[in-house]
Amino acid sequence: MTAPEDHQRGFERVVALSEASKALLARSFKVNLLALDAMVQSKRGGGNLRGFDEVSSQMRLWSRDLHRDLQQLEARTRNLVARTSLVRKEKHTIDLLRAAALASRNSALLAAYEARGERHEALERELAGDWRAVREMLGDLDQLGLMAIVLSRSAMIEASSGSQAQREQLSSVSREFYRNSEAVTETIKTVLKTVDGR
Amino acid sequence: MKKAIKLFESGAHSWQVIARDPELPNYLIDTNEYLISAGEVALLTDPGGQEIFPAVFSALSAATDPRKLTHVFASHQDPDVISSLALWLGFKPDLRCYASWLWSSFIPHFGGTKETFIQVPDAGMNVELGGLPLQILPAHYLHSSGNLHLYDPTAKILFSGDVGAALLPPEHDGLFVTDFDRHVRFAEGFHRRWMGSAEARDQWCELAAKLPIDMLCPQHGAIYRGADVERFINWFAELKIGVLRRAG
Repeated sequence: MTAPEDHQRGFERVVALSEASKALLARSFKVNLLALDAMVQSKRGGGNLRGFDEVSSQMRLWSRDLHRDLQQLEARTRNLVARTSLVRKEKHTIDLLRAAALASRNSALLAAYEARGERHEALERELAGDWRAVREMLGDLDQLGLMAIVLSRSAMIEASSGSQAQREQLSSVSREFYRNSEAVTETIKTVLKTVDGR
Repeated sequence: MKKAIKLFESGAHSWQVIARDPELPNYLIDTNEYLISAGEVALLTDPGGQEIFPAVFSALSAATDPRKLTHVFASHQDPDVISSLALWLGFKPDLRCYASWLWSSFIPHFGGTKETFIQVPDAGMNVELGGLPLQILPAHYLHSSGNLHLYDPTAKILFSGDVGAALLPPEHDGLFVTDFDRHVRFAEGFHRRWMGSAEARDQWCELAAKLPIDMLCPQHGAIYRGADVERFINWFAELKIGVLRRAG
């Protein structure tokens, strides 16, 4: 891979992550609202919806955790974007300095290039550390996503215990919750693949 | 870091300003970059110097998908305007840059190839951004000898490069002009020294006065809105410019 291609690829990867984290955060707002809706409906249903009440409380807790974790992911992604663009700026300068040092064979310039190169390598190491941290966060989010599937299925089962009108309402909100949380977990899996370069 | 702030929105058409970096070292002049979005494409005006590229790129990425960026617009050739070009091209090699024909062999010293540049003739030109009509207007000698402004007739916003710029102290660095008389005190020295041609100034004022402008957006300082736009044009028309104040 040539230097400009490497440069572009580094940006593509971080921009893909940034866009996905923005979309995930927006989606998690909706999941949060759906979980709240499910909880309100179960409270309205009274004693015959005790099972659904318990599951909807868990849904609410899960969606809060999800939202908090996605906010952290977005903040970390912003830092990653900033650091990536800083590294690219440094790399641009270093490439020019390197070309000049090699062309001139001037020892002072070579020394300046090497000193700047060390600084750049330190930045690259910090960037690699940031990527590892994001990878770990995404791994945790992926695990959190599995919980949503279990909760949604439980909610759909518990929804059948109410009256016909309640069943329809609760099934509808459970399905919506499932659909949105599944979209979140699918996006997380896609982002993981992007981050891993697969 | 800088932040993107929305100035105008109508459907998929918007203007955002990327401004006010609290971490900017005081030896660098603060700049405003404007992002014009039209559906799935976007243009960035005076994308800035190489040193502030990380701050601008980060703010832009937080506000929109940076892959939408298809064009940059360089009002002139100064380093605070366009020296980051190579870095933007590193992100998006097919980016196109509108610039005066006069600088077509100067700006490539910052980066880009022949294909990167869309040379704008002295008279200016009409362009489209995702179907949105934009007008590149001549503003030569204000301050650069090949100088351009960008007008959006739909949003009624004029990007005016260095015209309208002000060097604001930190305690008066609001995004919008709120007290015109106080604000122009910070714009006066800049315009007297940087703007060298009264004839060019008169032509520009005549042109600008005919345009419906809701916002006049300079590259430095605060944005003029509403009646302050006309106040500025009138003030500028009367200002003695091209003046070198004697030291001591």
